[in-house]
Amino acid sequence: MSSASLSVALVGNPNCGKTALFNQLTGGRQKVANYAGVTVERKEGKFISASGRTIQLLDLPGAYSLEATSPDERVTRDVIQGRYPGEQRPDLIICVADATNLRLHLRFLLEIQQQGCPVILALNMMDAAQKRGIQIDVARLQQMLGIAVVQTVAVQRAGAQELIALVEHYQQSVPQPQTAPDAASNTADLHQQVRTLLAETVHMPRATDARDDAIDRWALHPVFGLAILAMVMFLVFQAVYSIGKPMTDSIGDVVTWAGALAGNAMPDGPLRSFVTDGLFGGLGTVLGFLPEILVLFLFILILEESGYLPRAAFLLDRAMVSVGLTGRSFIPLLSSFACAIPGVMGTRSITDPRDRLTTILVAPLMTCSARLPVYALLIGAFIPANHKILGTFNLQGVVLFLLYALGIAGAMAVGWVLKHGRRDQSEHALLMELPSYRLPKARDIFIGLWERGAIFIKRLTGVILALTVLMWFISTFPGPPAGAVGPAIDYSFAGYLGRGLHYLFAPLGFNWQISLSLIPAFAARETAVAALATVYAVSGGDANLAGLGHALGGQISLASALSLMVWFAFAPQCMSTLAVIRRETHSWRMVVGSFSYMFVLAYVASLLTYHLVGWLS
Amino acid sequence: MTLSLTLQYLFLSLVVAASAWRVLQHLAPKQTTRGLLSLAAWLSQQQPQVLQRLGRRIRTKRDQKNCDSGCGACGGCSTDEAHAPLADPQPITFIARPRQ
Repeated sequence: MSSASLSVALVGNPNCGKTALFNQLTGGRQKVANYAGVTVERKEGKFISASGRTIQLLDLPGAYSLEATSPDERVTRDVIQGRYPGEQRPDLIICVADATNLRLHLRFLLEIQQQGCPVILALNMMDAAQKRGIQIDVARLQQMLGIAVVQTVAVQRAGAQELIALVEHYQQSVPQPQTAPDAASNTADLHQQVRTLLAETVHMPRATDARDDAIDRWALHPVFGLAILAMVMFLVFQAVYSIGKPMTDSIGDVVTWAGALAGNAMPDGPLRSFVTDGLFGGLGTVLGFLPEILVLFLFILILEESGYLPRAAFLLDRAMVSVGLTGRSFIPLLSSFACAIPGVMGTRSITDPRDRLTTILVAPLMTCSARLPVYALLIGAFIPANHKILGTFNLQGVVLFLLYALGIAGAMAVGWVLKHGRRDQSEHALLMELPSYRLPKARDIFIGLWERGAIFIKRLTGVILALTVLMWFISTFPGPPAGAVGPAIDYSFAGYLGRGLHYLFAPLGFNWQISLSLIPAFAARETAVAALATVYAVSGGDANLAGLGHALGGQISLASALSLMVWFAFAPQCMSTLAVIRRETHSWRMVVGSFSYMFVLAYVASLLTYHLVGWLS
Repeated sequence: MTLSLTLQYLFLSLVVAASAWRVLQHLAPKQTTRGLLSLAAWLSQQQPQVLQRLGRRIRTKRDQKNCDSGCGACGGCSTDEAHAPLADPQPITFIARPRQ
């Protein structure tokens, strides 16, 4: 490290605004949300102060104590104590504290002071504290703690400049600790010191927010609360279809038009086939699903920002405990609706190793956003668009909701089986903080949607593009031999491969084209759509979403379509998820077990669906 | 075969080869990274400046790489082994229930 640079770590209890402050200081775009456990790893950023000094800033997972009980808390403890591999002990620690809830935060601050590190206290969320009439005597607090105290509002610039100035000159500005806790102080001593500090420096009219209490009377009600939660989720999936579908259709029209334009401008040949069937047919079809993904995430982001999600975790705790999970599993499982990878990583906030392992194993059953294009394609092709349930609800939206519910039910069932397969069946009480409700900030929502859109486009132009090119290649080459009478694709690599796989998947009602599309889906689920579009386009179908829908509708039955949807609800997770499971559990056995159980589950469920629907119809 | 067709096949061969490499990177990141770093090290030792620059460029590109999982934590999840989560003092394992 150069003499001019300074290493600073942001620490504090969960959900006190560390990451928001990190983003504010570094210009980063790390995920923020209004619940505990969003950050489970160290994040690194830097900024240059007014005097040109480089400040290396570490954002650490939230921790209630240095006596770590979960893997994410261990990261924080090890960095603070200089025991984290490849990481030097920070020069300075900024302890971020939620000004509306100082009791726990001050206890953690005293623990950090015991370590002998230079500390600055950032009293965050000062705006919320002022609204609740909480008065903090900052000068007195600073004097009693013997450290610099600065007031901040992490979501605004307020206080950030003052904090930067303090960080830059911390050696001069931080008063020497006068009443810092003795290193030998035990937990009871620390609590006593916190009580003294609060009594002398904080005036709090009431312990909780009256507005929160009023909302929670309904939102946390054992009956009405669950009904509200079910209704909220149901409406989200309705919105995906009501708002997203028209935009998807518009993008499909534009892609079709552009594909035709490009095709007409090129001479007949392999390059023309590549552009029209591969790029526009395969890739363009997947691009069309961007609006539906963004609409889904718009609502998830609003729920995350509002503070409602921890309430949902509280409501579902009893149900989750009964199947061997815990309310703490809710947030990682919810993250898995975006992608199983942050979901599996998010389990680090779960204290009990068995609960954590169970959550890791069931997280991939949550419907990740990569499955949405597959569902949307099949629902669009097989479920009537104008059919309404109770005269109001779109049938397509209802089916989508049911598919998501199927994933959740599958996770519950697997959790229940795992619970009964282990010796220790003790249940662990859920202890979690319920944050104050707040209105989502348009800027945060916009950044969240932007990031999600950017990730989708990056995947589309990265691995999905590469897989689509390969699919086009194996669907086109080798060409049919002289005198061949069947379609050209029957003689291609794809034809042979697909027919080989067909033996395995025929009992599920899949044709060889669908069987083939399951291979690239192992790398990225959305690629199943691109693969199907490419194969059907090469076979002479229309190279667009509507054409693919027609082709599927004409070639497979409703029973096959439902079987395929069920397959994707339970199908073995993608390669990246398996890699993360290996990394988090340190066990190849878990990877093999996870893949195997999902394959068997998906196969059996699809088989039953295909035959049951076939029998009923 | 006409020149136009030859050029088309040449271009498509390059595109397919690049795509195959990209998919390989996605499916086997550790092995492809190792291969790339070996190639970068070999290039950096060659005499021509162009090859040395290419070696440095490959190494730099590799350093900026994320896992491309689409999970939304891009750049923040530290996919390298050095920052993998520490092993728990007690590894998590299932213990079979004793038969009655």
